[in-house]
Amino acid sequence: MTSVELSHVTKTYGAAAPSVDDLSLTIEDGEFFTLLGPSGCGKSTTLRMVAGFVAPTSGTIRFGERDVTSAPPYKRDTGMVFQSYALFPHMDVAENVGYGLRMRKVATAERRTRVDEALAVVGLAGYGERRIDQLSGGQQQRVALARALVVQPSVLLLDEPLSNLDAKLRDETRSQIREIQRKAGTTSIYVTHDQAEAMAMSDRIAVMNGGVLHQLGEPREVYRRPATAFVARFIGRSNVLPGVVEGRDGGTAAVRLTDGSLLHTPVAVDGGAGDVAVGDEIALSVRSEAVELLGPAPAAADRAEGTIHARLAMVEFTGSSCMLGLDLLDGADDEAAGQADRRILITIPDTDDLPRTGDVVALRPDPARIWMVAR
Amino acid sequence: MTALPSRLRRRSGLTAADRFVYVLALPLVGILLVYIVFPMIATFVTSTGDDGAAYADFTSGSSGRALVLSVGISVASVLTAGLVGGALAVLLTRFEFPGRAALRVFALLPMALPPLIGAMTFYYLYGASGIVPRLVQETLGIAAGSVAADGVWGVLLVHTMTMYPYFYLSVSAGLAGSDASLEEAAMNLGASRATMWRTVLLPMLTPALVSGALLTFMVSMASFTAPQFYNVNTLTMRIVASKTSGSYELAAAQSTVLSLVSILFLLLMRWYQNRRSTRSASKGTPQALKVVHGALPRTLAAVGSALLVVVLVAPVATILLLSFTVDGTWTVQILPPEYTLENFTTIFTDPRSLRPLLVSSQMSGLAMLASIVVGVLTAWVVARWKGRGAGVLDVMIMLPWALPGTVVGINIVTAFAAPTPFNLGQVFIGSLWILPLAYFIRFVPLVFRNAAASLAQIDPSVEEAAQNLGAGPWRTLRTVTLPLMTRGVLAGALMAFVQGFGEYVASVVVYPARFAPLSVEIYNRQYANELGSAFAYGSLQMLAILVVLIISELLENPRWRRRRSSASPPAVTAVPTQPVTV
Repeated sequence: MTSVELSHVTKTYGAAAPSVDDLSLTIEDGEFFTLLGPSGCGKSTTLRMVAGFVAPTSGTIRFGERDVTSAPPYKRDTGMVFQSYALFPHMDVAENVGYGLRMRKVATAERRTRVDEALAVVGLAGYGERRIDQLSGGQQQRVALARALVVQPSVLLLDEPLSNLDAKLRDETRSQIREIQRKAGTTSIYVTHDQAEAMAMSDRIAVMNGGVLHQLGEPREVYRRPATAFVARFIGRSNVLPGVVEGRDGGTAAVRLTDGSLLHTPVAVDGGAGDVAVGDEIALSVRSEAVELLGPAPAAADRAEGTIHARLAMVEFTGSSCMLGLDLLDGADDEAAGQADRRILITIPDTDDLPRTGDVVALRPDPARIWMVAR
Repeated sequence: MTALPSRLRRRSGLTAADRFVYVLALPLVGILLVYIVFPMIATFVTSTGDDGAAYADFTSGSSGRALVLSVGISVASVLTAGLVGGALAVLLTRFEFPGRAALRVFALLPMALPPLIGAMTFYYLYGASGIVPRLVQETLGIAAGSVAADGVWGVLLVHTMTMYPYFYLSVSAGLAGSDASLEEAAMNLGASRATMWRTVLLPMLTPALVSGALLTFMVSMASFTAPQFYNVNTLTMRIVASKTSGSYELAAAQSTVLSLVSILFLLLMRWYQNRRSTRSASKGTPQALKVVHGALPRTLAAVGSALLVVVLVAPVATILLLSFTVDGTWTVQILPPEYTLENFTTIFTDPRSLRPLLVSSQMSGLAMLASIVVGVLTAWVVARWKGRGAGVLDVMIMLPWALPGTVVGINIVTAFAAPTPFNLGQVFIGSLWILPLAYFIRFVPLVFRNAAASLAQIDPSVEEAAQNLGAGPWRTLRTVTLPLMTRGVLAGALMAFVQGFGEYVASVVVYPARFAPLSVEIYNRQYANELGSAFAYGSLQMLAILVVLIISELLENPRWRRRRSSASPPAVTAVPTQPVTV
């Protein structure tokens, strides 16, 4: 059990832009920490630097007080679950799980007990003598987890461990992993591109893009108060609408969007776009589920403050709800408001009287859930 | 150190794993330099001695003619082997007819023919005093000499019958890889069957045909045994003649020219294989076989298949038959008149007759052990080395694969004749060590390639997992990587052993007088008209090859490997397991 501290870690391959650029963060003892981002964002490289498979170009990595920056992987005492599981195909389940103990020179008898315990923890008691190719994907995944945990590593590293499972098994396994981790209290770093997974499991999330840390915070905070337009788009289903600040009144600001509508939104001094002044060009992040469908739009001239007019372009029925895609209109309600960022997506409970595609409707984003981000 | 801000501390970017690769690479590079690269350079330097007089000799003398002849025979071999191998592949992968199953089994039989005895058996089957021409003369009254395959025609016959598998294998693989939906798509879009072949299948088969052609060309250029039997003056023959007559400079010049041609073709092949991209991207709809209908076509197919099977089996059957012949009794008869088991019993009871067998198996065994160590470690280093050195090492170890055995022999003789700093003061001429060295150089590429192929099937994160669990680099190699490579390496090593066991082309150049290896003994016995004894050795050799082929097949398809068989193909030079030995 230990904390992990990355300070000013940079990894550059050749002349290309850095894969990881000046990354500094601290993972607390016992925390379940997630590195989240699209593929190529540097999250896996970061994890591999923590594991010791990749040497940072500059910066330091510490486990607690110990500087491990140049320690080889086999002297770092981390436990890693690989995306491909990386089980040893020539060993049976028990030999796989016991491998780390063998390397640590644990006596045979104790090794056997601990392997059995670890297998029991992941729900595979009695599977010790199975061959790896006799296991299903989910079982292999749990063997990999048991193998990483049985050595009681100071840090548990998980590299997209669920990406090879089907959707249903994925949900089950993720709560299992979290439960096992909570019991063991092992500091864990989890890498994923799946934001739902990240939110469901993590104590804290670091959102990365292009090798840069965009936001670090608890799942709720990241979801509600995205730091950048990228985070707003990447997490949840968010509409990012560009606009200009027209007025400031205490804690709120009036923002004119490019389609001419005027929205009022709280100003957060310590997050998102920060404090703003009249004339600032910013963007508003509007969650798809935080938009109310008011019905047929009145004439353009009668557009109410706080509402947006848009033409319904498509409807997707998803079971519990409906997702609507609408195209923003300009001030006269008849032309598109510019090609970029024209489409807005909203999620509403399923009803029988949906407007038809082509109808122009009025929408009202919930002012409390609008969030200002830098463009 | 403490005062320095950590941001400014630049590191080499090397992990422990990278350093381990370099540590391992160093001795390997040394070994390959001394035993593979330096001998080539030694030959080249020798060839340029005396102001290049040898090259003047080369261009004015018979060498130039020999080179033209070699190239001509090689081009012809490519055409004939391509025709036979390609036709057989199309027939067997696309059509269902009586006899297909039998034909499929026997189509690969030529690969079990030992190099020397293989060429001999064609001589005794189709040569002027061979079984078939004599039979024709007896039954049809046509002079045996006019139907016999002799001289250049004999060489061409041996080449065709032993090299068509290169085409057969690559074209079969190509046809099996193109799935039915591609052809169906073409015909669905309005292509007739002929147009479909021209516009879809042939372009897709081009890589297979080109690889087969380059390989056949290289092997033909290197061919020595067949030209020796039919007394055709190819470049390889000239090299041995020059060496025997003591003109070392000329032999070196001839070897250099032949090396350059061979290396050129190796590079051409690598370039082509790296460039090609025509691999089927679709999921693969099973190929439906076209069934041959009708009584007459089916009968014809059956008779044709039977005839082909007879032709394919004939060489093997001849080896077996001749191995029971009483020495010196077969003169002008169609078939040998007297048979005995004594040829075999003598081999195992007479110490003098057993000796070549022991020499060859010991020398080849030594070479195999060295090949395993060097081949496996080099494969690992090439796979894990991230820098450009990997490519250099790959080329260095694959070089001997391109070199004709004759040239390998000349290189060794030139490089290890007198102590120099480059050969670390080692002199091997007349020493027993020269044979294992020759076999090692010739067959280490085979072990290397097999090792590299098994390595390519291992998920690299398996090694990382071991390190993550606390195993150091050596430990990881020993407990995870090597065990996973064992089967593939063993298959390659056994193949290398059996090739070394029957090696003739380089042996004949380098062998010390007191230790004649098996193949040289076979040649000597045949020369002394002790046919039965020669072929008895030959059939033992064939038996060894068959056993190794079967073991390899079992080794390379174990249960847990099968699941991964769809993994990406090995990145290293893809070459067939059959090395250049004709």
